[in-house]
Amino acid sequence: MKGVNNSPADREGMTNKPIVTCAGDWNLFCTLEAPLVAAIPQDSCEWRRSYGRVTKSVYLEASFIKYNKDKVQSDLNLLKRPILHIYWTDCVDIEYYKTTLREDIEIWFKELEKKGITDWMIIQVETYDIRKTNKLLPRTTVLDKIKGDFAVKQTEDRFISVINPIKSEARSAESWRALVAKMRHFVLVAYNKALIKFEEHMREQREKRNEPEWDFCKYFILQEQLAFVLEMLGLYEEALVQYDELDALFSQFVLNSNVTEGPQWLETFKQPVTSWQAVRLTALVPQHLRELIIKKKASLLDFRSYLFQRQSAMLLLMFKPWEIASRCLSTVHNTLVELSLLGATAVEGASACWAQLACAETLRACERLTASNSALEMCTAMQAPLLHNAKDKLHELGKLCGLLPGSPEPTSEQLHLVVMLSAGMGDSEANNQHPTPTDRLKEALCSKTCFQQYYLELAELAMGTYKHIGRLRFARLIGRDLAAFYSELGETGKAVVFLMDALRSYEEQGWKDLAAQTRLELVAAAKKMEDVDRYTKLSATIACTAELEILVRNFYFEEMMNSIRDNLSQKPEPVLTELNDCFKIVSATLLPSERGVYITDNKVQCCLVVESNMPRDITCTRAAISIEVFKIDKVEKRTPAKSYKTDISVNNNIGSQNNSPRKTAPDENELPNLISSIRLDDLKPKNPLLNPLHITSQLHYKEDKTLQKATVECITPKVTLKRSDSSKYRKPSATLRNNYENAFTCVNFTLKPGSNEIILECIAKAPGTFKIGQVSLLIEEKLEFLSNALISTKVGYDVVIQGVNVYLNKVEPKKDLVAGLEQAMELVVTSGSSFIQEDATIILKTSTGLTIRRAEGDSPKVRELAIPVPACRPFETTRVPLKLFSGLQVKKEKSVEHTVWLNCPWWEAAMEVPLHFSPPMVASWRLLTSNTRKFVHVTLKSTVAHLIQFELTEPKLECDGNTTVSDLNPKNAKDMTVASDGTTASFMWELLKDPLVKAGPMKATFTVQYKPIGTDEPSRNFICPFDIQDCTTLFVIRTKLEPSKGTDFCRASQVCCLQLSVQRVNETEFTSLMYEVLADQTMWAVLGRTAGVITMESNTAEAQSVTLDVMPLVAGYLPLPTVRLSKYIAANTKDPKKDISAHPRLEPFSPGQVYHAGKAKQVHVLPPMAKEHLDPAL
Amino acid sequence: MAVCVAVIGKDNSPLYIGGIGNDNGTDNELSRQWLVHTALDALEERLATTNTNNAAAGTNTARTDLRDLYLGLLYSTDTHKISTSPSGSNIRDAEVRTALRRLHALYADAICNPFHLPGDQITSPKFDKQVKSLMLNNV
Repeated sequence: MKGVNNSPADREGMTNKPIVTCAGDWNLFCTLEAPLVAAIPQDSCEWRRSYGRVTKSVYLEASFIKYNKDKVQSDLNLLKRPILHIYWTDCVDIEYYKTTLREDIEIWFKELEKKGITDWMIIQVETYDIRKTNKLLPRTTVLDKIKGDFAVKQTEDRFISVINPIKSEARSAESWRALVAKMRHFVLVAYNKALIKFEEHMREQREKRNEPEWDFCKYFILQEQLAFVLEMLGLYEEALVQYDELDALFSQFVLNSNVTEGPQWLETFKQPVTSWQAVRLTALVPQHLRELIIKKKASLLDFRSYLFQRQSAMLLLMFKPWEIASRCLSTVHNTLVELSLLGATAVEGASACWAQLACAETLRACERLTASNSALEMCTAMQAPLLHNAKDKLHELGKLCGLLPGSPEPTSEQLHLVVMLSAGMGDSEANNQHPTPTDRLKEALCSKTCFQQYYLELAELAMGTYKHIGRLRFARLIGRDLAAFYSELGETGKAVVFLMDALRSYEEQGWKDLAAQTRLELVAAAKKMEDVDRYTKLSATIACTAELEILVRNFYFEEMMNSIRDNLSQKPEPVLTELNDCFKIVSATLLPSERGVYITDNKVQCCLVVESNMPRDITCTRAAISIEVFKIDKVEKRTPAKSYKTDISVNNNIGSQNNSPRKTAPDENELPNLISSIRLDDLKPKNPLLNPLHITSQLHYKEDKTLQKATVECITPKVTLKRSDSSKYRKPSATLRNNYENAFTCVNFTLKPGSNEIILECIAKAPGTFKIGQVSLLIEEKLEFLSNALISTKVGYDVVIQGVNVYLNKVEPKKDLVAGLEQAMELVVTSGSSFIQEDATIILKTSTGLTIRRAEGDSPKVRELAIPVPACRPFETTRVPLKLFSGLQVKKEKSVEHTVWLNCPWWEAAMEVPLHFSPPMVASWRLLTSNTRKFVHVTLKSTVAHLIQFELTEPKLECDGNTTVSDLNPKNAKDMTVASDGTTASFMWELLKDPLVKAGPMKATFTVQYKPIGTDEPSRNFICPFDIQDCTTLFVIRTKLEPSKGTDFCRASQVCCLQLSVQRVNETEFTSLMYEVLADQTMWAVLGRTAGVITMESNTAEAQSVTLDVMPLVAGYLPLPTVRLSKYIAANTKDPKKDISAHPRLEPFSPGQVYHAGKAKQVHVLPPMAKEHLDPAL
Repeated sequence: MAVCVAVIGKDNSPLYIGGIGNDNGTDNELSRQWLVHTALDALEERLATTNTNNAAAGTNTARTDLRDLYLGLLYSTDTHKISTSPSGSNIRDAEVRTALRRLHALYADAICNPFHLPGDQITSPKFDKQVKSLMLNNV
């Protein structure tokens, strides 16, 4: 382009300023230039632009040149063209103006007009004159004259008078400020005009872009002017837009050239690339590149470097380093694509060099800028991909130049390439303390060590940065690259760490192909490291990976088998690995026991369905499921076992004494509800998407209760589909091997590919509650697969003890045991789940009064009996019939308690069996008196619960002392029976007492022979002793009721006379007696005293009589009121020794001593007389 | 041109990965899987920054607002560009947008199969065929 000054010294850096020409008094201006140049940038000015563009606040600078009419340049060079023209004068003399100045101005003005320039100012500099301001009437000034001569309406404000600040600074401030503001304003107005014009031109040029002679480079330089101006005005953003437009235009041309034939100018960029210097990210304009563009000698890389540097410069000025970083990558990618599209030839690796340097330089620039900037975080996010790219490019170069570890020494071609590449990078900037990216790259290309160092540095940094910004997948990817690199370096151990990390994340997120690939890499690393354990494990897993080709799987299957055979067989312990990688547990089911419950020392079986992913059959040496103890039942000592009731029915003995575990389990709260079967699919959390929608129908009514509408509604609470956060990787805990001492096992079987059903068994040793734990599959003796699947489940079972049990049972359980008769019982021995050895003997011991014998034979009854138990297989029962006899206990009426102790050889302590015997019959007796005769009445009854009948013979009553007994019973008493259905037997005897002997208490014994009816048992003796108190009759009471005087009959409600007589019939010391009339108050009313004391003369047998008035209350046959006679002991005050009591007291007679003769007597009481019979008397 | 389409579930596992083109050295299915996998990081970042109300559930699954189907270019490498879904170096934004919309429709059709469990891999051969033809048409 014409008129562009190409001297680099002039154009380096940000040197463009709006140019203002000065005409008129140049010397005057020179005095003012310095303050003016300083004042203009001090404040901003609003830039109002046409076409509705945004108004911007702009800081301006200006440079002033002397007006030269020949140098007023074309409109189309924005940069070198003066934007404003100023005419300066300090003329105050009107005459001088009229003569000289006017003409001068006119010439200047004409020249401007000729060129169509409308951006000018005329400034008159005045010297402050205090006299002038005080004048009331202003004179016409020179400025007024100039205005008058040159101004039109629109341009009046372009004439400005200013007070010279040099001469009177204080007074000039205001006018000076106005001047500067005006100047700013007019510069911007000028630019607005100029830019509009320029943009129009630019558009015109762009429209021609498809014409053959159009040249992009020319156009680039043209539009760049606009960018420069905008940059000059501080509008970096808009300047950047210009560059971006150019960028897009260029890209479009290159892309289109791929489809159609490209324009001629594009050939420029197809020229061979000879330089791949690093981009320099400064605000300066890289002039050498710009020149290359102008001269059409720029290669694609040159052009792209220039463009990127200029874009970066704008971004640097905007303090947006992160934006540079983000643009860098896309620029690099685009450039590489364009290079291939255009087919520009370059040394192999040149583009990689350039890209690497671009990334490295961008990183450097970011670091430089963000050291003290809060934008650090934003930059970091962008840095990671840059580091990643730089690392990749470096790797590419390393590969080209033979610098990778594990590669042979570089060939001479490769060494030549290094020289070529280093040359193309050019020299790095001088005066740099730190090595520049160019230095580092050159250094890295020179030696393997430096290359490795640089590569690892970039890779580690990239990985760290990715991790820092949460891009873990990228970090893992770099980890894989690093793993490959370390692997080549021979540091396989480091490689494995990276690969394991990667593998874990792929597995976790279900990227099976990637996981499979990573495993293949790991297995190779394991082989290299000769880590046979890991190699075998990985081989197994790879053999089971469905995503891989079957050939690969088969190969690794063989490898696994070989490795087990060759390497692991010497190891003492099997190698542990994860079960889930190779097998899938489909279900585990506890098979129900034949006996309903699992019993100790018996088999518990578990059916395990396992899916094998192995490609072929494989021998499983041992499958096992560990058993976890949930609760151990306390081993019960068989000592005081009160619960071992004998009334347990014999047929129901199994499981009844410990109760069924299925019943007890839910009772105890701490027990979980164990289940007996589980499918592992059931354990997966339910997919919430499969839940049915809640659809409801609704009826809506209007206000008048008529139906408005019926709707079907599905209220979906906002179930937001959330992506799971992938930033948190949980560290898988290593599977620990459970204790397999107690486990379900199954040995030596073949696991086929696909589903396998295995029955595992274990012998339950102890009672308790158990859960199934971990599954272990031992393959080929040395590779053990451990699951973790079943641990959290509740599959479990209860084991109960079913040891030897011994019971002493009644043969007829519903019948009571009866004392005094031989009772049949049996000893029941159930072997439970164990064997009973030969020569086992159970010793039975009985409590006193109980004897025992074996039922068969006629062995004597003993209190200790040894019963040999025959040898017994599990779950057999032996019964030994026994006979027990409990002696009758005198005077024990209710039940007879006995105990049998069972001593068994397999229990430490004896088992106590309490037994209750009922007495066969109970005797009761009564003493009966008739006047002075005495009788004994004995009644027998049976209280046994079940029906039992006894035949009674030889009843006998014996008394001690002088009393003899007269048998009043019928002589055929052999037929007497007593039965528990309520049949009782009674016997009667009269006591014949020797009247000469003084009576006292005596003992009597009733005996009778009994035997159950219908049996051939011998008769046994039933004895019932009893004591008879002093029973001699001392007094006889007679009562007699007589009607009152004058009447013949006793009538109700009429007072009668009760005659009471007491007669002594035997000798007694008691003479003082008290009588009490105890009348039934519903029948009798006693008038007057009911009690009284009488004294019997000791020497006479005469009766004492008392008469009482009583009144019968009702009519009928009434029993006479009873009379109670008691010993009356008067208060004895004279002899305190004898009797302490100072009050009289009563003592009862013992029964039989007082005979009440009238006790059963009744009197006939007539109803009361009719009222009319009484009335006349009234 | 589009070479690979991946449908990613909400747990970040691949539900479907389909690629076309010859499996030569650098451009094979596995390498594309790695690209897709790493693109998830960029996707997550994008979703976190756009902070849409309708939380995205994967590259293109179950986003209710069709206008938001396209999240833009996720990242690019020398040879591939990874958009929210398939993209190629020569496809304009609008074209990718259209392709993604069609892909979403195909996806919706595929999961409408009553025998398909949400979250399972998409094994429908019809879906596979249609997606591949979609990629080819995008040249």
